Amino acid sequence: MRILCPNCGDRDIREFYYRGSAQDLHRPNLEDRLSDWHAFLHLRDNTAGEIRDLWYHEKGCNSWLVVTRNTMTHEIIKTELVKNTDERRA
Amino acid sequence: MRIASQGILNRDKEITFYFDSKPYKGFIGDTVASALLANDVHLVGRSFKYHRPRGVLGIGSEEPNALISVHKGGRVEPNVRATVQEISQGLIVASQNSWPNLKFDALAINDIAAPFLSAGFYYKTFMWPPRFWEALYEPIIRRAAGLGRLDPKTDDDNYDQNFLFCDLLIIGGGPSGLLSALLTARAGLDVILVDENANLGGQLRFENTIIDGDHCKNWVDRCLVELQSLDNVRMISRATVFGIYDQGTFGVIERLSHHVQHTDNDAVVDRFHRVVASASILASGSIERHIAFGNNDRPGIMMAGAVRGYLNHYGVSTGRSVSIFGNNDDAFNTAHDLKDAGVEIAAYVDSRSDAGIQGDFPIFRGAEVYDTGGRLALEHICIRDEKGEHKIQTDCLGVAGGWNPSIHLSCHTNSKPEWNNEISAFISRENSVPGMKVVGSANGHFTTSACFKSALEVVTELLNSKGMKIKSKSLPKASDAEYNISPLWAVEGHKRAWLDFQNDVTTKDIVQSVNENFSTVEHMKRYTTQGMATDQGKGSNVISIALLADASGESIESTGTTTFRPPYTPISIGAIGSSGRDKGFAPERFTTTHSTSIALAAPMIEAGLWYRPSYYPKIGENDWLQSCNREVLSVRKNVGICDVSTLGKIELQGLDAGKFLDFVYTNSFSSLAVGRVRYGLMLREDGFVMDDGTSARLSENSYLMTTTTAAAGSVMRHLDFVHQAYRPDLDVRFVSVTEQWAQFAVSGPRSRDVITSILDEPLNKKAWPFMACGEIKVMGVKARLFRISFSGELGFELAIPSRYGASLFNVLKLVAEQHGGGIYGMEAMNVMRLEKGFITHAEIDGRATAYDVGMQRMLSQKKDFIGNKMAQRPGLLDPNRERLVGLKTKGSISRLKAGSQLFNVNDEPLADNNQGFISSVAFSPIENCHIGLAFLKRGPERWGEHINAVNFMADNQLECEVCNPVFYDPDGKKMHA
Amino acid sequence: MRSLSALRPAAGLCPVKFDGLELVELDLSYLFSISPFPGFEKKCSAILKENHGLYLPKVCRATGNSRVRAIWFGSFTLLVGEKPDLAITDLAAVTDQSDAWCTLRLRGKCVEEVLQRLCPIDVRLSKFKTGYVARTMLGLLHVTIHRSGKEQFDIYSYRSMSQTLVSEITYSMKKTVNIVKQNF
Repeated sequence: MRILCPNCGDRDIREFYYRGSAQDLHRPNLEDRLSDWHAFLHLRDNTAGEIRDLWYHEKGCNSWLVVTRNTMTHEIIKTELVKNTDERRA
Repeated sequence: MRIASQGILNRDKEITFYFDSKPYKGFIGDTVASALLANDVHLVGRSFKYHRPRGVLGIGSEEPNALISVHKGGRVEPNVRATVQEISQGLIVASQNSWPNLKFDALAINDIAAPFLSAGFYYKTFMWPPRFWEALYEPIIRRAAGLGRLDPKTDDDNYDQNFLFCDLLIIGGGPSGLLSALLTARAGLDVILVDENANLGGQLRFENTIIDGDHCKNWVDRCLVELQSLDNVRMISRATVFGIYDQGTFGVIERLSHHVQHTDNDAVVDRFHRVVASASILASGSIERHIAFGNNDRPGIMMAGAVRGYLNHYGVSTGRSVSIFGNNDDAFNTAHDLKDAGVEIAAYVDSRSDAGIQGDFPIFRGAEVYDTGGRLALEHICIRDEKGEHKIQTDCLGVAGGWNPSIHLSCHTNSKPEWNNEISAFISRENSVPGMKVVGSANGHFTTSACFKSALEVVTELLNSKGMKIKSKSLPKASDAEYNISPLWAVEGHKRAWLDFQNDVTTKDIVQSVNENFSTVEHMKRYTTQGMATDQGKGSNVISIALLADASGESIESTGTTTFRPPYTPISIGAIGSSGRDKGFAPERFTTTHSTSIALAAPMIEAGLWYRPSYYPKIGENDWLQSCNREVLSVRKNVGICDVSTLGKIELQGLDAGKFLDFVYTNSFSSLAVGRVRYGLMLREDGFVMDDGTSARLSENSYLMTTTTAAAGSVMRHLDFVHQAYRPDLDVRFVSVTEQWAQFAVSGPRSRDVITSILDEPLNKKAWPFMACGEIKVMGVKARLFRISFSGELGFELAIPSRYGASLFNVLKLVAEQHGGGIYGMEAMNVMRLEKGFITHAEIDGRATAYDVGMQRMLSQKKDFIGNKMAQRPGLLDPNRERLVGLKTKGSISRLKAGSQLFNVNDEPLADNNQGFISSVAFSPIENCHIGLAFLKRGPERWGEHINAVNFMADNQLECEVCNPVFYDPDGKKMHA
Repeated sequence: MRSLSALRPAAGLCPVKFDGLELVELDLSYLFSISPFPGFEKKCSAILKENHGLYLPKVCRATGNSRVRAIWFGSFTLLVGEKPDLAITDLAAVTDQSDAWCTLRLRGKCVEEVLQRLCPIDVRLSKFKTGYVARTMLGLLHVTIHRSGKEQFDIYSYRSMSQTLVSEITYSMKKTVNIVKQNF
């Protein structure tokens, strides 16, 4: 598997660290209900199709990435820097 | 038998090799198979289950029968295909799976017992009593069944690996692959051409086809000359693309020196290439398949294409009187080539009544071979046609059951092939692998001209998609006839007919499988073991699928194939793992004092990738504990020096550096004064403790964070995530400085004296209270001093640029010794931190909360921080949780063991009664007893109680006292001194 | 008065030489990480130009010359060879890293083949030109590779891993030489 790092270009999977769903970007506020936090931390879809995941170019430029990937075809549709995604909460 | 006038093999150099200890002659370029056949040796092995005599069946890597063991150096490599292994002077090979010898094999008795040994026999028979399976049945069956024996010696061969990149990978160097390479390379693409054989040319190595008015071998040679002259082409022969992986990654094994006898130990045997190519062309050719008829497995019965190949390439006639049995027009070629070479043809048998073959030999149209005879070699075949049954004397039968495209690789990324009625074979679907096109006979084009045409089409399309133009569209002209086939899978008869030669699967096994309701293809495969041998059923799967379809009343199309997975052919694990040899397995991280510690005979222990000294033994000390106790007492009494450089150090700068730390730590750092240090606790978002350490405020806008040694990497990853994902608004930059600084703990009541004596300016006691930090100068070098303590004593940590680390350590050691102290290692450090109740990752093991380790007060309620919300979950604040306590034994004799489980003194040691566990232990020379840190239900309320520590591994238990986890100087007077 | 003596990261490990291949340790005197605070990238670049004659490099590139250069290092730029002026510390996080990195120079005829065995990136000149930089792996090590010439790479790795770094590269140099011999 290879990931197109927006900084470094097309790179081998071994350079990356996998974190999990990009849902991690939607961090609730401290005031939000515990159930929202529970959903944020623990509830994940098990999608057959397109998913958005967080990867870290750990042995590369040290950027966190959102990788959109199809779990059925293994096609990687898009890679973005976490900094530049809409999902990021400022 | 070798025919002088035939073959393209160079016969200038004759060499000798040994098969089953007997010498044979051959030529460089011969395979073991071709050389044995040239010496009229057909019998080369015994089958897996029935120990039937078996001979060479094919001519390539798909060979199921001719498996041999190759002796090299002091080792034996089993299950090498004789059709692939090239001979070299003095090569020693041996047959497998026979005892006492190949010609008389005692276990051939299995063949007589065959009616009892059909598919499922083992499953049904050796069920009872269950314990007999491991003790008795399995060892016996394993001995009887099988292939070569694995050599138990260490594989000390030299392997290699590589990362290669190209625009286009071409898999297979036959007519389609060669032409594709020429056309794309001429257009300027960067091409890698991989072929599994010693010589490129693919099927053209075995044919007499005329291309552009010349023998095909000359066309191949011209291609190679041109390709070699191009800088943008890399050709790798004797290399197999064994697997295709996502995003255009290909696994390739190149066999570099199996074909030569190397005296040089440095010679690389196999090389593992990982090839990355956005585009690829699969030109892997096709494999001829057998026909299932009675006793179709005798030595001397081969594939017709192999018979032709041995003749045309190696100049070997595989028999004196050869017969052919086919169902397609390709069989004609074999007959004609044999005839032209002067080999006697005993019979040409074609299942089609309208087979358009003419020739000066006996031709049987609409006929079938239904049985064969001969004990260790083929002696006759039995033919049935409309005129009746005939017995024909023959010593070799070439079977032409039709060709199967080699589409295995195209299925490695989960594509299923589709059935093509016209050629009666499976072909791969369009876009089976992204970026890959299938050409030539791998795509069902079974004539050279059709191969050329398909290569041109695919290359044109590929170049167009890259905005490039093909230079010339003219194709080489090949003279070959159409390929017509009328499928014939099995011939009716009551004799056993073999499908999978390596696993001894017969047509009856398929029927039985269906009868017992294992009727889908994946079930049938596992029930009968069809296609599960080392050849993965390359020649036999399609027939068995056809027979399964027939037996289960389905179409071949709906029956489908089993799943093809890497590797395509067997590959050496040594090559795949070659980068993991020696230091490649795990990098080693050494501190600046490593060689000093080694010189002082300190045993080193691993901490992550780091190596750290356990203790520094002194003459007269008999065990580690003695040294450790001495080191502890020396620190407690005087002073000790310890290298703590491995702690993660991260420098943070920027206007918002404090704010950022406030967000990642549970406690506040923006409020920390410049020149001061604070202990910080870091949580995961789920509220559990992630790491701890001290952070120092170096200046208004700069901090230095320390992490534990093991968590340095994960903390950096976490900080990057929090900054990039949650707080990019914060004006902060951070960088690891772990490597920049060598850092030494100077601990003990006399540590201030040691520090003072090496500083350029004296240390002002008032200006350096506990938890102070700042810049100082040591012998003219700028350094950093932190007044922190992990030992519980008055202590400092001194950081100096790494280049001076070794030198400073020696100075500190000397000064400490002058003050009655010395250096200490990890064991002593661990004892002292335990005596102080300081936690490490033995305690913060991912299950402990701040509440559990008694630090709930460090969770600031004034701000948001990572883990804040979830740490407040009621379950994480339940007083019944297992929480940190100290444990003490009575006296110094009985040892505690980390990992022991805790039970109330009067309770049975059962899971339901569990009260907690011990996380770390040590012998405390101060307390003169064994102490431990433990997690105990309602722990802090139970100081003074007695509890049983049960070590289930050693099956013993020990009563100990629950106490304050801070054993030593609980008020901290010494640290603050 | 006592004084401290300094040791280079790869002291005693280099140079390593094999048939036309050479691995040497570079003495770069100063290494400083520079990471401009938000909005100050251009100003930083201008100051660097003024003081050191080079601009901040773009992603995956290096600027400067053999005496002083700036190398992209992912989250920061490494200024190599000269000490940055104090003026820049208001605009960027500046950290002395002079002792943190082991810097080796690998040069010779088959230099690409040596790295090709160890690094999962395309190091061929056509794709990885002089002045290009990659943050990648060398074996299992995290390294920064700067192509400083046609047949020359500068490799930056953690000081503590110098021994593994030299051992991995030496092993690959040896294999490269052997494979070349084996093929002829």
